[in-house]
Amino acid sequence: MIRIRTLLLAVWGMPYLSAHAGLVDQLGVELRLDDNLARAELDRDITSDSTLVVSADTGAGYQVSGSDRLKLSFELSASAFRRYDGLDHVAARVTLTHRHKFGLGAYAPALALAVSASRLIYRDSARTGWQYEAGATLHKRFSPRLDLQAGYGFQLRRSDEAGDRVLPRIAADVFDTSSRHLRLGLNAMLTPRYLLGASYAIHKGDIVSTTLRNLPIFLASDAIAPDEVFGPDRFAYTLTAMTRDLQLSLSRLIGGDASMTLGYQLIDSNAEGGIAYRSNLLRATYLQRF
Amino acid sequence: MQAPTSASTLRLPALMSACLLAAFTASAGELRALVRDADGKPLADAVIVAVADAPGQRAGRPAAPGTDTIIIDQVNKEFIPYVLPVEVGTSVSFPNRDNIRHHVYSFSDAKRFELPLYIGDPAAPVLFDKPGTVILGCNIHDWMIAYVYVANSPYYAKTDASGTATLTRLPSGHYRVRVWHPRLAGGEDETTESLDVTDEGVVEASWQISLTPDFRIPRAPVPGQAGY
Repeated sequence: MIRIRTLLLAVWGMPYLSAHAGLVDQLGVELRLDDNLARAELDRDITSDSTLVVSADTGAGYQVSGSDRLKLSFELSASAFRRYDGLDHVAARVTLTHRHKFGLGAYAPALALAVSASRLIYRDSARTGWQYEAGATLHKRFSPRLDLQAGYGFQLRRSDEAGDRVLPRIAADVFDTSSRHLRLGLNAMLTPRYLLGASYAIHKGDIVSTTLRNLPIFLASDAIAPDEVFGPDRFAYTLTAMTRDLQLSLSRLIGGDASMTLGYQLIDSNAEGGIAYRSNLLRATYLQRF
Repeated sequence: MQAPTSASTLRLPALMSACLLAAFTASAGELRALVRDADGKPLADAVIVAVADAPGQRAGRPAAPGTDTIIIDQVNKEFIPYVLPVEVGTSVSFPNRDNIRHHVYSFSDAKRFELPLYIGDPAAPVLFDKPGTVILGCNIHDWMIAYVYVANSPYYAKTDASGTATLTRLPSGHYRVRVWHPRLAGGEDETTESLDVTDEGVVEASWQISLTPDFRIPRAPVPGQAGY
């Protein structure tokens, strides 16, 4: 099996090899810090880690008319975790987007419909599988400084194999999840070089929390399977939850083709049975378009 | 001794041309303008327009720019140049040098037009027949923007990176000279200065203008946004 870091290096090096040939449209490098990687409630279960993500995008667009555009895009990414290397993975995603603009000019509202399929290959094979997403986003720009978006979407995830059953008649397909979300977002230029981004989303659906044995979570869960990525005697539980997701970012625009972004994300989940967890994520992202 | 005579004969048309040119040049002045921003830095893309007080002064208008078509290119999903000054009645062509289609439009009162999706040269140039500022956009790439400044005078020029512009062949007389820039804070009329141009010599003038911040629709990719 190809090692994740080798793939990461391959993704990292790809733009250098192909940028001039026009094969890569965009390169991204992100360093992510997550203070509750296992999405756990109790202090004993909470774990943090840092992740390096490298991604490369390419695609082809077709302007059907002055108002309609179709785009088929491909993204290859590799994620390497500092401590929990069982979460190292590569992802290959294909997305088809149809964007319709309701009028002429930069301030005409636009609706984007997107469907995507991602192949996820984890070092921990229990997480390996497919992820499907579909969504609609309405976008409206009010000035060169301000634009708003509102979106609704679905996500479905299917693993290649279910985990080992902990108990008979208790499902073990913990990574087979589905959820839907409603998201509102805005981008506002603070200065000609700095862009503030903010979004708030509500997700309804499945979450996966990994903990030591935990009776309340056990009683509230829909599926359970051992999850040794986070250590021995750890179990992954699938829970139905309402999750609030707040994201704030500040991007420094570097010319017309690159940006450096610092971002913060708060994930606040409340699952059935009164179980709640909170995660804080920090991101530093560099994007370069070719 | 034949040679000098012969030489004089040969030189006569050239001498006459030189005299005519000198006479013409002597009847035309020059305005050298310097435009700086509020911090004193040279300002590019400012348009200097000189309007003669007496209509008769227009008789000495500058030579026509020639038969070359005036163009605004589209290269790498940007308009080039960013600012193009023209006189009323000028036609401008908008060739698309990219290998993707653009859709050029303007909502400006001075000229409303639309060039639907095309690659290469559009069917016909666009005639700018009213004075004013025409803001250009591309319906596919929202960050693309450029300005056509349609002047009500044949005497205009655009500043370069050093903030300077030279208006030549100005007939002697009295002029109202104003400055326009895409980010000019306040009205263009507030920049007007009265200047006298004489037959000989050069008139120098400078402006220090306040600008609005350069907010443009961002082109750079940022996380969470789909690219074009």
